[in-house]
Amino acid sequence: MNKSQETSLVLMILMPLCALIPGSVAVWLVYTQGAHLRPLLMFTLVMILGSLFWGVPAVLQRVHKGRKVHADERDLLIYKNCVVAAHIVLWLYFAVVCLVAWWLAGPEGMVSVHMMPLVLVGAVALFVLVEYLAAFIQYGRGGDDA
Amino acid sequence: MHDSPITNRIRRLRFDHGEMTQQELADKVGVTRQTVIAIEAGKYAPSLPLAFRIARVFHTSVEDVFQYGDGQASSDTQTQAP
Repeated sequence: MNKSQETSLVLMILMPLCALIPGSVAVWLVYTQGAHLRPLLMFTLVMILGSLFWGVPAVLQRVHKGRKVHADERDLLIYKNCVVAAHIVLWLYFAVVCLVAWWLAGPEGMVSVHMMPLVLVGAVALFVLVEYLAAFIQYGRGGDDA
Repeated sequence: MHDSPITNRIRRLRFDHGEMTQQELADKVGVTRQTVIAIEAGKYAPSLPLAFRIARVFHTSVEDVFQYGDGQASSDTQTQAP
């Protein structure tokens, strides 16, 4: 496993958690306390704290400071492929969620609106998971740098 | 993922130029060592500007470093898309 793969693996585990944990806490806060000012402020605070996790790549870049070049054209191409793969899976996810909800609820049934933010949190988590999984696979094709 | 008919002889050129390391070549052309490894292993086809930069490091032409098709006999590695 090369360094790029290690980074992708760490982010593949960390990033979905960064989306799931703050997102679920935020949704839970609004569900339990209603959409009033205090829970909304807490919601915002949780989202800001969650967004700090997105700085992980910058931290990792500092860790790898010894290397002169951090990213090049191949990294950019891999990143583009990752985003495309993540978008494809994202659309499939929404299609599956819609069909499963329709199938479970039936023609006369209803789906709670409480499901909607949870579906969104799941979408974000799945997106980053697929993105870094694709990065992990693609960097593995470059060969070992040992 | 299709196989590209592009081949290269970067490894041989590196050794012909004072046993240049992959990291030294990467620093000279402005890419990561991983990219040099991938190009040498035939896992990544570099862009045209990068191919020119690599050729310039070895004071040679692009065609001397990279060959397209099986017309050139001096190739070491077959390259495919990343």
